[in-house]
Amino acid sequence: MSKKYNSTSAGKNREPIGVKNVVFSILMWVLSILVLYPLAMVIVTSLKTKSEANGISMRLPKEMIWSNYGEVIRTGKIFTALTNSLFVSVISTAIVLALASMISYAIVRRDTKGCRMIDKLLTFGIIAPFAAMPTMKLLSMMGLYGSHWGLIFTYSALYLPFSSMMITSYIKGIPKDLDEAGVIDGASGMNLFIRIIVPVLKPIVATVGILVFMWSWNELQVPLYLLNSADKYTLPMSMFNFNGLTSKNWQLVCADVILVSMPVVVLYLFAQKYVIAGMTAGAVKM
Amino acid sequence: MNKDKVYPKYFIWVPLIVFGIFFVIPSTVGYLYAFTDYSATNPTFAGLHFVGLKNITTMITDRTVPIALGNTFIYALAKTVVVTVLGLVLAYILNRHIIGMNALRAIYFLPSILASLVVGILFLSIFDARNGLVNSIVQALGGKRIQWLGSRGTAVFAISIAEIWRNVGYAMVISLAGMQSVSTDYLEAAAIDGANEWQTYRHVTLPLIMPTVNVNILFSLIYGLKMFDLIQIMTKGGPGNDTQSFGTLMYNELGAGRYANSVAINMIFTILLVLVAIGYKKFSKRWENIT
Repeated sequence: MSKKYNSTSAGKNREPIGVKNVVFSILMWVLSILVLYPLAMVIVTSLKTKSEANGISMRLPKEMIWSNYGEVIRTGKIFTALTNSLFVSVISTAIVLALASMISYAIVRRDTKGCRMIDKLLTFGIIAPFAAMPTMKLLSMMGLYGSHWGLIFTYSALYLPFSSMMITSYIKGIPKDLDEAGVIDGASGMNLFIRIIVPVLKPIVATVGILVFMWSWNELQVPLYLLNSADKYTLPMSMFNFNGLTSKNWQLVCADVILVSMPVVVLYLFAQKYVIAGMTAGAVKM
Repeated sequence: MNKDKVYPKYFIWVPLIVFGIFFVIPSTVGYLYAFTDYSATNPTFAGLHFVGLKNITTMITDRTVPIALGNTFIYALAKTVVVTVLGLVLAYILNRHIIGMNALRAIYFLPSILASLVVGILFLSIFDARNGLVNSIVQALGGKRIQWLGSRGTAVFAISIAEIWRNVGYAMVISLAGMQSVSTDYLEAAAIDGANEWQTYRHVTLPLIMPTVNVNILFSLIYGLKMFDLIQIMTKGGPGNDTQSFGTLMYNELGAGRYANSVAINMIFTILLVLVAIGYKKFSKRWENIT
């Protein structure tokens, strides 16, 4: 029944627009200024001289000072921070994806009482806040405090619950026949998982991967506790400690903001469909 | 079929060990520090003494914790209510034949992918007393400059606005996705029954997307209660401790060398969040039955 009506549902958008919808369209576009205007202010301010930039504003500069970007890259240690961020985010994402797909798959398929308890325990991981001081102590006992690996393992544990929640609800929709067919072909365990299950998980893994990458990329609170030397700083850390911020050199702060945000914005523009689809799919079940 | 062979147990144990060591242990055993005299002046493990509930009672009787508790809830509730309602309204509008629908959706969603640190910096300047955008509008309208970040009420308001700005687009996109997944069968049935647009929305669409909205509210609450970056960058919890949330108070107590207090706050915070989550789940189940 519902399949039959899908065509009408798609056809809905081909109706004539009508006055009411034109009004609503205009309203939505006008409102979008509330989003675009502040962002445009940042871009404009990043090109001002120090005396022009006494705040983030839309007042256009006399000439565009592109060298602000060069100065931020030099004084803000952007490249070191960029490499650090890439290293931490890429490895954390890889670990989270591997662990989350494994545990979700096993939990859904085994479906014992113990599995359901583990599921509850993971929910605790979504709800509870980051245990800052105890994690610092734990990492220093393990010799990982202040290192990227300490950060990576902490991220892995922090993002595992949400990721496995999303992957779990996806796996529930994959028929068990698939595993059984694999077993008949002689596959089992890791072999079966990698050859037969992982390919099916690709869409959800892509979405969760983008999410975890963006979270670890944007995270400030955790590295604020766990990193203690400037050469290890991730991008948000470098921005938080950027001296232009304390001296309110807004033109440099804005250039910094743009440089730091560029990677996620570009990622979003290219993978928008997956980002949005995933964030909405994940919110459906808990 | 041999379960252990097809779905080996280490698929569960390996992730669970990572989660256990780096999350569960700090979040449970680690809170034992809350019952000691651990501080910058007494930092070694050997020098620790058990002090019982002393840290917790002093923190609760001290004025800062009640303020932080109040602020934490204000931030979370203000954000959740406004974001959820605005998200539903905007999604309702966007779920029509709107010109440039995809572009609009992308624009509204943009703030939620930015680091909250970035949003904090932006609003720090927007609410700046001397050269900020808000005050220049206020002055243009003939008003006086306001020290937005200078007192509790206005600062909490400014921080909440920043958080709302960052999250409305996300709520909108989620509600919109929910609305678009409602089968047209229901809508057509409602139309045949003579329901107008609003009635259809209120009695068909809204109840159907309620489960999605509910999960969204729960996440919004949890992340709202955990707010940190925005406050730390905009006010550092000040003036005094007037805008502290649990997140920033934890951090600032640590910075002040009162380690055990920081852990005590962290522990209270954890218990609070678990209670809120359980409470909300119970409440929302009942609510779904009513609507």
